[in-house]
Amino acid sequence: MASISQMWRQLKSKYSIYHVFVFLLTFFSYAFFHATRKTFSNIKTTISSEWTPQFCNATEPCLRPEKIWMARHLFDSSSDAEPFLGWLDSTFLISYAVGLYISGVLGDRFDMRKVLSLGMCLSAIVVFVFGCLTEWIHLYSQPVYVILFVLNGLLQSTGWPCVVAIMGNWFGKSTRGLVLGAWSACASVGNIIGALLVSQVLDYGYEYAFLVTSAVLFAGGIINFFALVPSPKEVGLPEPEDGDDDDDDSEPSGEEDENGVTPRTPLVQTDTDPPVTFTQTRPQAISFFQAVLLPGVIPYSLSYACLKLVNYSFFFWLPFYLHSQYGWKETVADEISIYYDVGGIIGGMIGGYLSDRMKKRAPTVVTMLLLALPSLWGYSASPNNKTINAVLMAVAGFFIGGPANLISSAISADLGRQDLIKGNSEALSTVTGIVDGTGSVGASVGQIVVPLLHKQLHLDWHWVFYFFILMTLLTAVCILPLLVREVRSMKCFLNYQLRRQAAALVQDTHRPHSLNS
Amino acid sequence: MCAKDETSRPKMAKPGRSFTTLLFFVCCLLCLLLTRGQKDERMSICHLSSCGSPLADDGKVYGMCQGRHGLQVWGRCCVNVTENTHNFTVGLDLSGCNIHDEFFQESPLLTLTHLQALVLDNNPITVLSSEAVAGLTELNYISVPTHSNCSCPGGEEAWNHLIRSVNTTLCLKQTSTCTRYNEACPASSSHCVEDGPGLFLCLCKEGYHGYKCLRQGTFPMSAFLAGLGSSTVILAAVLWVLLRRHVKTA
Repeated sequence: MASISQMWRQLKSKYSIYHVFVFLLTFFSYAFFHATRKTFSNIKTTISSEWTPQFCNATEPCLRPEKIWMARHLFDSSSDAEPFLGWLDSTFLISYAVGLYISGVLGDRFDMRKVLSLGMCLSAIVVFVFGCLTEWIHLYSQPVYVILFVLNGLLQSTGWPCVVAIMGNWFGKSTRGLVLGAWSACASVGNIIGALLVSQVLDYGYEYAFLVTSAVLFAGGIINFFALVPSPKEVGLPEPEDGDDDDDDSEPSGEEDENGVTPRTPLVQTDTDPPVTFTQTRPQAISFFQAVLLPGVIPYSLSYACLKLVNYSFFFWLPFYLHSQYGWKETVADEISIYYDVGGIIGGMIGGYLSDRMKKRAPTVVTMLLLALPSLWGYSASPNNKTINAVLMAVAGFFIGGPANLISSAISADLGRQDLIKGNSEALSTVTGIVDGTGSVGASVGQIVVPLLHKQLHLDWHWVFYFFILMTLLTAVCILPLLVREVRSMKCFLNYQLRRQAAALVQDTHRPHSLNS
Repeated sequence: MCAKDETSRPKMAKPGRSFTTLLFFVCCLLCLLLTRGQKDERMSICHLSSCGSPLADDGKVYGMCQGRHGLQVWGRCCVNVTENTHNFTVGLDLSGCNIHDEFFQESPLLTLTHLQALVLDNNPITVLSSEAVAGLTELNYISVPTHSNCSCPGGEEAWNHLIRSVNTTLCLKQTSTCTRYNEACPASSSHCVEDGPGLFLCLCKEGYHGYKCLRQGTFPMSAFLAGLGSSTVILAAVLWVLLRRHVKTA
């Protein structure tokens, strides 16, 4: 009991009401973004039957009246619409990737609250036009859909760099792994919210699924505009501790005392007491190329490209794989594939916590990635049993989704707030944009390669898994230089600490003598 | 005024009363100008200029009109005049009217929804499609010229009796198309409705609507917008007071 109340006190001294609401606001902002994406993937069947006439041939008569059954001819049949739907997915990923590079840069130069709010509201409008307005005015046109999807990808990309940068501003490196690991659940929660909303209103017509999710996204944008505080500096709170903490050997409690001085109950704080550390001028933003050249950005970007390829391929293809490999019903396949997400969230949190304790991320990530290789192989050999499959899937999710969550959130935030640029410039959003943007390029490559391997070349699903294993291995290889460096510095640090402790011991043994004498 | 006159029109149009005939034509012209709807079409189909002779008194249509109360011959039509609001044509005999296939292109029979007998003998038509008699569910007697191609609309399955003679083919009593195609309409949201010989419609079930009957119920738009709007405003206000009120701007 005592330890719990102590922990509670520690938490209270460390986190203000701002931390709580910043966590919730950014969490749900990104969740709503993801909910609109999930809407599209869940109404694919309905929308393709809305685009096409009812099937008829020599034996099955064409249904009448024509207005109800045969009036729409965007595609001849639902199977003709399928490639177009896949195309829209790839279009979205590519424009999302491009958008991430741009939005990241914008986030560091303009008020992130405004960039995020505007991105959410505009994206909501585009989704509304795509799914609802076109249906209301009966405009069914491929070019219009593609243009709207490109726009949507660009606008949705404002989400990730901004929310990660805001989280990075509020939560320091020592807790970032755990906090952002838990926070990374936002994408999965968004998928669940999206799926629930869609299933609630799909009977009224697919356009209402888009209407509801886009209206909620729009509302989120408005709330963010009035509520979100993108940086502790804005309310006169100090920025969290950051940088390489090699020499930070002070006990956490000591740190707490330091932080305890800062106003942890800013509600009481009135306008009359001027904040101590408040600075009105924002540091200049780093240029895109400077951000690329920051240490660690290129290796992590490349590694994330490989890892997001695997991760997103799972996201897109898992239900289909289960359906075609084991013959499970699509609804069952959809349900079981949730376990991959569950594994990813737990993996992100545990990996994040471990890396917080080690004060190094690369060793944790590489270890998880190496364990991902056998887990992938094991999953591909799963027997036709739902429970065993779900467990193996959760394990694979743990070792693939976990590191993916870590790299895209906690590590991106570390990279954007590293010592080199600390205090001098804004780089957080740009760096996050670069890492996730490169990752999305990888994901869109995956969207092309997986169907190619599976459908065009008619290869066994095993080959898809071999490809995943190769890409996971490449992910680990990309991080290897950083691992070597970090392990070396850890060794140095350990040696240094050991030596210091030894010295202290020697001093201590000497001191009482001198005092006594 | 027109509608009232219209009901008395067939009675008045008897030969020998020149004044009332004139009045009738004036009114018809007025009606044509005013309503341009189904009625003038029906009128014109009863008085096709291509029909040289009046309705022969030995045909099916003449016979059915004589036998029953409330039916009157009008041009080539047999019209039910018992209902005051509107008349409807139950029989149409266009034999010898030089009807070609093009005649049916604009579906002239579509509005004669109560048509029971249709005679097309002695015409150069080659085919009578089921679309030409679409929606005529009461049609139980068709007589078409016997040609190589011309047969009963909807095919033999659409009729209970098919009597073929040298000059004419008789199609008697429609069969139930919905029984024949009972699986065709998506059962979850639509049901089958007869729509004339060989034809059926899939109409949305109660509560279903929209393209392919995919929609069910109406979205509570105002409740949704009001709920979302008010909660957004409240949340934004509360959070502003909690958080952003303390922001110091330059």
